[in-house]
Amino acid sequence: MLEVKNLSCKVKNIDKTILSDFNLKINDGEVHVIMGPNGTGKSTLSKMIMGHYQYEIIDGQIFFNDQNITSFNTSDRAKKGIFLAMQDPTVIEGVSNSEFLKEAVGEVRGEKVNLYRFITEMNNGIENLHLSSDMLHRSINSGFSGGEKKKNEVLQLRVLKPKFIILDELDSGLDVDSLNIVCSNINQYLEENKNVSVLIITHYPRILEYIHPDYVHILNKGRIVQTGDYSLAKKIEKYGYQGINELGKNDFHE
Amino acid sequence: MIFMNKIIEKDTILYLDSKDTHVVLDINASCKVKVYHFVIDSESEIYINLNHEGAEINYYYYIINYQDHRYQINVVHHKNHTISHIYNHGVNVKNNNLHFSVNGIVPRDIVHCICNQENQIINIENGKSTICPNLLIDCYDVISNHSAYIGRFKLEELFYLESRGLSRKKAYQLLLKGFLIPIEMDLKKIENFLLEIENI
Repeated sequence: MLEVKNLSCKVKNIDKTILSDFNLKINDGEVHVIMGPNGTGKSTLSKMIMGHYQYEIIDGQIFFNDQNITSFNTSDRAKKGIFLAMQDPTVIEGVSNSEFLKEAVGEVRGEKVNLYRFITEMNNGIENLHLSSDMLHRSINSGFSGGEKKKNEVLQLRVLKPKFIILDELDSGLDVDSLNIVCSNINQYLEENKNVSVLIITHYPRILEYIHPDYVHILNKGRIVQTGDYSLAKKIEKYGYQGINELGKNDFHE
Repeated sequence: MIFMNKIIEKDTILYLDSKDTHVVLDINASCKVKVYHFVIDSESEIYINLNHEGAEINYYYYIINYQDHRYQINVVHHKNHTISHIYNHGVNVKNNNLHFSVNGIVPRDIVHCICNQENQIINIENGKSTICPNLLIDCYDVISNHSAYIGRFKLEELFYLESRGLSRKKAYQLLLKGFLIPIEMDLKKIENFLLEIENI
């Protein structure tokens, strides 16, 4: 599905390397988690995979379904089936959610949108996510609460039907009930699409109680320093990243 | 120059276009007036007189600009408790000059007014755009705000749209429509303007 090979990158026009010789391979249907303290490059990784304009690749490649997408623009990556649910979704005044999503569905599926089918899909999504139906006619993320913004990301995900999902700090800004609703929707999507892979970026293991990971990686200073299963996330919760580093000298292997 | 003069005495929604280059609106009653003014590549000079207590104007001006043009709007609060909200959005497509001169005037002894203006010009190429947001307020008891932005669409907005599969061209089209057409607008009323947006 997705393979990141020896990736090093920096912020454009600033001489500071963020990811350094980073490697990650995610197979079809797997759920991977990247955890790590602030400022280690977690969100940068998610943006790099999506082709964000602020970052520049120094070295390395990104492959998606065996195709080198390193030079692809953001739109083409999305059309290939990569979806980034953003930590802080952008507000766009004047562009309604419904118009935006209708255009996006048309572009991603490469066909004229069947309006009846689209409206039905949207209405189902809104109901499943406990969103108000008027959000469709409001500007993108404008005046939305933190929870509504995250639910809107998941609504887009459900409608656009990606093959690879990146969840960047999905649980930030969500109360317990909203987190439950959002994760149930994602799990339902994964249940319906067994080959879809997920990369979860998170500080806290709380979200992993809802979406169970196959692999947990700890990122530090731009590279993966430890890999384990769900138990590694529980240890991080118990001991913190500093404590894990100490324990890691005996318990874990890179 | 001949001005189109309109006297308004009840709640009204007006639609103006590129032909309405010189307009005077006299609002002579306690009523709410909304004006949608869609302009393609033309000058405009607008005068609004709030002549009655409780008179309110919400003026939405949108221009797609290709040559050197100037837009001037003057709102004069002649009576107490009058309200003006002026929104001006321009897209300067080529390497030309687009100038907004936006004047909100509250004379001495006129009180409890609201006099607001919001101005934005998006440069698509390297046009020289200017905005003069003037609030000429000669008394203390007035609520007044203004903002002015000249620049390009934010890269973060383009990234968000593109991350959902929209091409750069489609993303621009959506942002232009969002910027130049209010969400509540009946598109049938502005078919030519809509077509022009698609040609940018």
